[in-house]
Amino acid sequence: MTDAAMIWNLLAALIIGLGYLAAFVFVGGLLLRIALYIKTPVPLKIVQTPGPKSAPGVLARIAGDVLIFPNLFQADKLLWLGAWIFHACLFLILVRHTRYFLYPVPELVIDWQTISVYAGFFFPIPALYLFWRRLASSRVLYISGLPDYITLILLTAIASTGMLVHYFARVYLVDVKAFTLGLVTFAPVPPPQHPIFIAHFLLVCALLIWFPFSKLMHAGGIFFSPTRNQIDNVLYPRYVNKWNEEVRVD
Amino acid sequence: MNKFLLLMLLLALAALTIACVPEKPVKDGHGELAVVIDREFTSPVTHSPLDWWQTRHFQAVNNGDIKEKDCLYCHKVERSCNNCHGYVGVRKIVP
Ligand code: HEC
Ligand code: HEC
Repeated sequence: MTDAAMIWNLLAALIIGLGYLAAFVFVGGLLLRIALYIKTPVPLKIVQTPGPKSAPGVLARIAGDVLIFPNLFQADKLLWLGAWIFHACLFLILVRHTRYFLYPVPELVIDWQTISVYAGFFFPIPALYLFWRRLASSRVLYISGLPDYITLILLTAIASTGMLVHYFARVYLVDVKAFTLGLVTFAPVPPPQHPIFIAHFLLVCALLIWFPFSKLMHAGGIFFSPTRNQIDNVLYPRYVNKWNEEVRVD
Repeated sequence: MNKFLLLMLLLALAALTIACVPEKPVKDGHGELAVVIDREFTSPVTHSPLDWWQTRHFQAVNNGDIKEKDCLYCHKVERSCNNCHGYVGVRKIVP
């Protein structure tokens, strides 16, 4: 084996190892955070009025929060537009990426080819807007911390390397798929020898590790906000705080 | 007990997916997706260098430089277009 081949094998092993580490931290961290959300006491009815009167009503309210961000719409129309487009693009891109992890590839994912490529192209625009907003308004600048920037920078870097390997320095998808399928079936093969693809992959690993410990967890937390997920029935039936101490009354 | 069952189910599912994954499509490769082109045809100049062609052949087709049906003179759709397109999730070529 030549030196170059040896170094490449080492690098490949490192990249694969990092992939698994990232997946492990992501899944483990996600479960931990959600367990924490579930265990957090909710001693009071603090449902935000006008609240839904029934469980299906709560479902509808949360679905609305997840899909169209109505509260943000009332607060800031421009931010709402930027954020909504940002999330819609992200969703399309994620769905499209399932083709690297599934075989056979679902029809729907194949049909979405054109629209998700547009989403990829478009994605940096709302991302840049969200970034610019943090710097442009002194109030937002004041409450922005390093983690807010890290998230945006990671996402933008992932999107730009993704567009590079799709358009300008194209990576051979057959090799990419062999690599990703190898990862998910625990029979890893080396990644394609394509520096920008490897950068794309490592950035995604960084995002996965970052995810459970960052504000990206709003993706899970949105389902656990007591002001949004409680039923507005304070008067009936009686609300019993599950976290109260047992009291002897005899 | 329930947890044990669930774990077993997950493992079985994982084993099933692993068993279903075919080898990647390679010219004269192994497995059901191997790219097969009749021996009588030699690689045309458009295909050189091959690694460029592999990632960029759609440009020749989408630009209209070469018509899709001209590719099919040498390529059989099922054995050397769509087997590979199915693998990576690209729209199928209709002959
Ligand atoms: C003259 C016959 C001929 C024509 C016409 C032709 N090909 Fe090919 N093609 C071949 C041969 C032979 C190979 C194998 C090349 C090799 O292995 O070096 C090949 C290889 C390929 C490969 C790479 C397969 C792999 O597994 O690496 C692709 C993709 C491809 N052709 C697409 C096309 C497309 C798209 C067209 C039409 C624009 C086309 N070919 C037209 C003969 C042809
Ligand atoms: C060995 C794999 C392989 C083979 C064989 C192959 N392709 Fe492709 N094809 C690809 C890849 C990879 C892409 C790019 C997918 C992407 O970027 O999303 C692609 C994309 C295309 C596209 C663009 C798709 C679109 O909707 O814009 C066309 C057109 C195309 N191929 C035609 C053909 C034809 C015709 C043949 C058979 C003659 C063929 N290909 C054989 C791998 C292959």
